[in-house]
Amino acid sequence: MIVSNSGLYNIGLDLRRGLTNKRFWSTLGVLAFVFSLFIGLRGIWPLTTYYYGGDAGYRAYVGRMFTQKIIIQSLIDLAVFANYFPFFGAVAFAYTIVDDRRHGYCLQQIQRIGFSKYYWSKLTASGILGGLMGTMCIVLICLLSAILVAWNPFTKEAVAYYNSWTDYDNIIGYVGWGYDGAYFYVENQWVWWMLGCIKYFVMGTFFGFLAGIIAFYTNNKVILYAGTVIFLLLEDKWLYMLILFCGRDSYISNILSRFFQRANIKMFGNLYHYSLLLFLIILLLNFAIYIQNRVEHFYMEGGSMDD
Amino acid sequence: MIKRQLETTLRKPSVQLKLLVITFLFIPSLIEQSGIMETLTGEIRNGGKPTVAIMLLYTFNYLYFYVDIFIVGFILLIPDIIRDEHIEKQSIIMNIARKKAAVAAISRIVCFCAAYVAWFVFLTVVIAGLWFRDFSLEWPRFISIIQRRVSRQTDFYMEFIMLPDNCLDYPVPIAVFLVLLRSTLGFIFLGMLASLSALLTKKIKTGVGIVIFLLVAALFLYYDFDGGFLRYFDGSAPLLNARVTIDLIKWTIVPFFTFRSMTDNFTDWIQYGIFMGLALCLITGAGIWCYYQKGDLGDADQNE
Repeated sequence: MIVSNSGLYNIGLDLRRGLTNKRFWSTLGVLAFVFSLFIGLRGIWPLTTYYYGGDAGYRAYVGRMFTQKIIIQSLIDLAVFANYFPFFGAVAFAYTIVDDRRHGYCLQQIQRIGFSKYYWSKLTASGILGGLMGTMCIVLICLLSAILVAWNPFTKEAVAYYNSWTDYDNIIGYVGWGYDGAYFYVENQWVWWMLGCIKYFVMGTFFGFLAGIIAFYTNNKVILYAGTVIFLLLEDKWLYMLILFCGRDSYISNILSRFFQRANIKMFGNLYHYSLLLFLIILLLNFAIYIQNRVEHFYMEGGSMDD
Repeated sequence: MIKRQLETTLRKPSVQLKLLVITFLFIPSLIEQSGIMETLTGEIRNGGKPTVAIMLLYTFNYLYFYVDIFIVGFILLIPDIIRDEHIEKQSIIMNIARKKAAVAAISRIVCFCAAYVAWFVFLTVVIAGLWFRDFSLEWPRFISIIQRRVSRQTDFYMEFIMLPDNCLDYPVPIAVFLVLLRSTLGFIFLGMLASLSALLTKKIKTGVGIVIFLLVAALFLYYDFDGGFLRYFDGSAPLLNARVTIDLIKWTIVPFFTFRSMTDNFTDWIQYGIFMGLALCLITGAGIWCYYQKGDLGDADQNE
């Protein structure tokens, strides 16, 4: 076995540990299954309206959404998904930080490589695996719900019927790349998928970092799992308050409104969104550097803890 | 004993931190909703202005507040409120009967849930009082106007103010009391269910998981599943009866906290919420009682 004390080697070790953990894959499977079940259930009622004679109203619109490969849009429209996406970042790897401390395994590692490397390798691995979890979950959910809705033999007739409609320009949105003013529109669906994957990777990385920091700081699993979701809710609310305070049309409010995390499909290529996500990640890294000494003291004096 | 337990729970730093987080989440949401309420009711001519009592009814009838704030906070607090092994062991060692420990456990949950609701009622009264400055106990006219508008539309289930038709038959204080009672019973049921399942499986994780499952099911059915109606086409039935509709919402936790639409019957839903909540509280309470009489509370001899 190659034994190295370099930081990169330790990040690789942590990544390997996360990816070979059965908990990572089982969580991925369960979450993907639950969300695709939600989408499947949600898709079935508009599709059954076809049997009533196919009305051209809202239901037909929704029915077509589920058949024309725009499942990713219906996924991010789900209230459950929009609220609980940050959870993906937390369940990917951050819990091992709490577990290692509880079982005393962290001390062996710290003894070998020093606290700083331990801290940063865990945080980085948590971020990267959070992003991977988010992206893989999105792809898996879309594939599974395609099987449940679009390729489902029981709704085959309805799907064929809705797909026979040709004027789908008003349903299929565009995806743009660039800053607000200069949008460069793409209609290709593969571009959507790529940009969606990148977007959710960056978001998952952000929430993974956040979960790692919460795990190091609080050493509590309940707060770790709930913390990321609560961060999203708090961010939403207080941004709204700040915008209200600064005046809706002011320049500051215009900038602040980019910080909202709940993006729709048209925001996939918005560079404002990406830049601000990166800004938030850098802010988090700064915070991680700031608390490093405190966490080190906490780790060195406590040893292993029962709970 | 109960007072001491409640004090001990509230004095924990983790409980205080969690309550603080939820309060910080609640205050901007309430201000946001007050602003929306003011603009929307301002558009109705001769509609009157919203009062503090209306804001209370609105807050405790709006599923959004439950899903994003109250129940999220409650889930966070479950590990702290459902079990306090230290106090339990101490009281059993002090030769207090198991019955007393059971009464203490149940009453801790009941008192905590009541305190939890009371805290948000207090916050609502303060913030809405500062915002609207109207403490009158009359029904403003805009409610009946909105209800009339809503009753003309057919396929409409998520409205602005969740106050069904015949709530106007009740005086405002009684309506507020009924709604708050229903919410408190709902929280007590959730707490007791979590406690019972945590006792039975000896894992607090299970209790938290059950509440999360109930929340997610309700959220999905209410917001993403056509308001909880399952509609399908029965090919074998005669044509007039071929459209079958099953109402799933009463199988979730939604009726313990809110109505589905303004076209519902206030009396029916509030009766269902209160009596069903009471019955479920009694059943889960009886379960906790039985467990405390016979089950292992951590004081049994260990054969190791």
